[in-house]
Amino acid sequence: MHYLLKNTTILDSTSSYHQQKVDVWLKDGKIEKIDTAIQAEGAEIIDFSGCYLTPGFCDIYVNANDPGFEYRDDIDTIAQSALAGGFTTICATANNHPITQSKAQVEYIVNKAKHTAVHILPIGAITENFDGKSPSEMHDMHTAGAVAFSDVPHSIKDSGVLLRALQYVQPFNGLIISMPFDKTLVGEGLVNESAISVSMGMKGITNLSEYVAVQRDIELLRYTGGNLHLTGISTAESVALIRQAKTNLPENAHLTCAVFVHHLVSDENDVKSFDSNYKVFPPLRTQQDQQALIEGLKDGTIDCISTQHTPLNIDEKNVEFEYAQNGMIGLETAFGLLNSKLGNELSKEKMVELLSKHPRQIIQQPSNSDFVIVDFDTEHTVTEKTLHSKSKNTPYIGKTMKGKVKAVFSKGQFIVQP
Amino acid sequence: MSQLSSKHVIGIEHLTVDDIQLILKTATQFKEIINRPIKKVPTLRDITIANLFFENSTRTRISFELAQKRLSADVINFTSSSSSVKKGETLLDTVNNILSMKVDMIVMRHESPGAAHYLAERVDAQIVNAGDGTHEHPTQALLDTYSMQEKIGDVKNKKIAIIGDIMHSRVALSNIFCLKKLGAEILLCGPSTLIPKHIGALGVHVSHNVDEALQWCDVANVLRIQLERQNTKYFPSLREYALYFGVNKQRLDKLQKEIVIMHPGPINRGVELTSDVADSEHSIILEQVENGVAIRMAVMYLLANKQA
Repeated sequence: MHYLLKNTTILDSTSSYHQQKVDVWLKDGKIEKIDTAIQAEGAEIIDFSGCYLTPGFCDIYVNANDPGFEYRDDIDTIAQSALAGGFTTICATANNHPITQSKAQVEYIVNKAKHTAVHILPIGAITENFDGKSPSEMHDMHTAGAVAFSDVPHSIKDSGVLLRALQYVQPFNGLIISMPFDKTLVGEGLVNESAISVSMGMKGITNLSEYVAVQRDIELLRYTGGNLHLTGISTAESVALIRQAKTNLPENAHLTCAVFVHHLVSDENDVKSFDSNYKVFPPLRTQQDQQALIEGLKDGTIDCISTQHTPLNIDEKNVEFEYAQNGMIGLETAFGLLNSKLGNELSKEKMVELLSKHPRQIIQQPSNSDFVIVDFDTEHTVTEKTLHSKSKNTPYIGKTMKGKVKAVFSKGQFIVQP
Repeated sequence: MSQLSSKHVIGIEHLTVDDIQLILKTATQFKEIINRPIKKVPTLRDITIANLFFENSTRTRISFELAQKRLSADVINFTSSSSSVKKGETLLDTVNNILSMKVDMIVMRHESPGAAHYLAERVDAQIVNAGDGTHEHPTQALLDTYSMQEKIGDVKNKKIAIIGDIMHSRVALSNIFCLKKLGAEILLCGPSTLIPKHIGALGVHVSHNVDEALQWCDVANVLRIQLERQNTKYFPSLREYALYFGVNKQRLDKLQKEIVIMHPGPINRGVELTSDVADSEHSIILEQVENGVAIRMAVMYLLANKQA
């Protein structure tokens, strides 16, 4: 491979070329040179005028479904989806079959991901079989390459179990990821609890079910210290609790949190049509909650954005709302959706921080030379055909978005998007 | 205005006031017909209607079937005690199989809220929702409204109390939508665990005192209490429910006025309603059943008319 990428503006506050328009010379899987007006004989020249080069995106919450649910997606198609969306690093949840809860299962993902152009990092289960009781072999999984531990999409009901997990992973500086919710308060709820759930004749899921768990998790972290990442924050109350906690947690307690893309771009009104593609957990909340999440991103309370990429087969979605499984795919639409919705509210630098710099810091990955070239202005329409995921469960098919990933450089490979 | 605005009757929420008035007016004509010596009319000849009941029902199914027969429609019945999903065939497959046999209209009862919406978006046939989980039961609300109007005249500005398990009741929700559209005032009464927190957004009053509710209202629509179908315990016992929320003769005797008593059936005698009330002259429970046939005839007639 031999490329000369012309006229791209670097967007990386750690780079000496930050905000400068440069040429980038790629040769033999490496960045040979970055400078203004490079002459590279024999290189294929691609002009990226108007585009920005940023560190590769990183998503801490992806359901890879391999092994066990390969009909939805597998490591290879997940990698293709990730690249199409500009993600060069993704974390694969333990929510596979079998559940990722041993060294062998961590190694399976690590080995299978080697052949792809994406860094796919396994997350190990906190408890065996997600039973919420018996801790899994987290130290051994860490040694084998697990970057974090989580029982998502489940929450850990037993406070003692979560407390001991936070303590147990500290000697190796491990990270616990929790999606906070109190299952007994969620009950049989299907959508956000509000006037809309009443009109739909459905039981609602209160904000309370989330923020009581956020409060508990914060207090556990205050007691144990260590690294806790709360994922999928969806309510205004949770944002307020985390904002406050960040001002008064002890120094040895590191709290971070993520919001999902769909909570930033859609709200409970979208569910009114009973379209099961909008059925997610936590549920889509009110516009007020959404505004609080955006404020949380702006002031740094929320550290990063995740997709909660959840591929589901058509038969798992095209059923009565109640029986449809939770979740939507998100890797390939994340950047376009976020830029369309928040392009005027967040600076380009901030967007890149939330999608690449901060998530990498949370999972303690050293910086690398992976990058993505994005165009913040190009409009494009998502169609079923353009999606690389085997599953097409997204409500955003047919939607026109502003902002497109033009090219990705990942693990030494340079891929130009059609 | 002699046509419905919608191709389907899925819920009251999406009907216009004109739609509701048209159905009520048409039902009056059908009520007259079904009281003639010859009750059958040829109106829906050559129209095939499938009754799909994925949830147990006796009276609603019989009422629809009778309405269809009196309109001379061809009728097929499909009943399944559990949902088709649990049986291994999807709802859409079941319905498409039946539609392949050239069915024009589907009357469906289903345990899941939104099931009728789901179907209406995916099949060509006209859909009548005969109850979708805890969401809507539009023909019940229409027959309740019709029965009230027969007894007390226009419901505008009348006071209607709905008493019981509001949270799990499609009858309550459809009644609220229907009566609010027609300008009635509504008070919901029941244990606080069975009244959704945000129900006030629908513009209704809420009380947890059944004596107050009865004193306030012109009509009390008393709902069936089903302790056995709730996975979560919302109140301790039927005994305690009957003591604090049951409508009985002592309670009615204390009122300084007469009120109308309604119930969508089947009644748990001695729980939400005692026999001395259910069988009294205040009760219009059996009129509701009779009007149910006329309302369902009107709905299906108007839908078939719309299609033609």
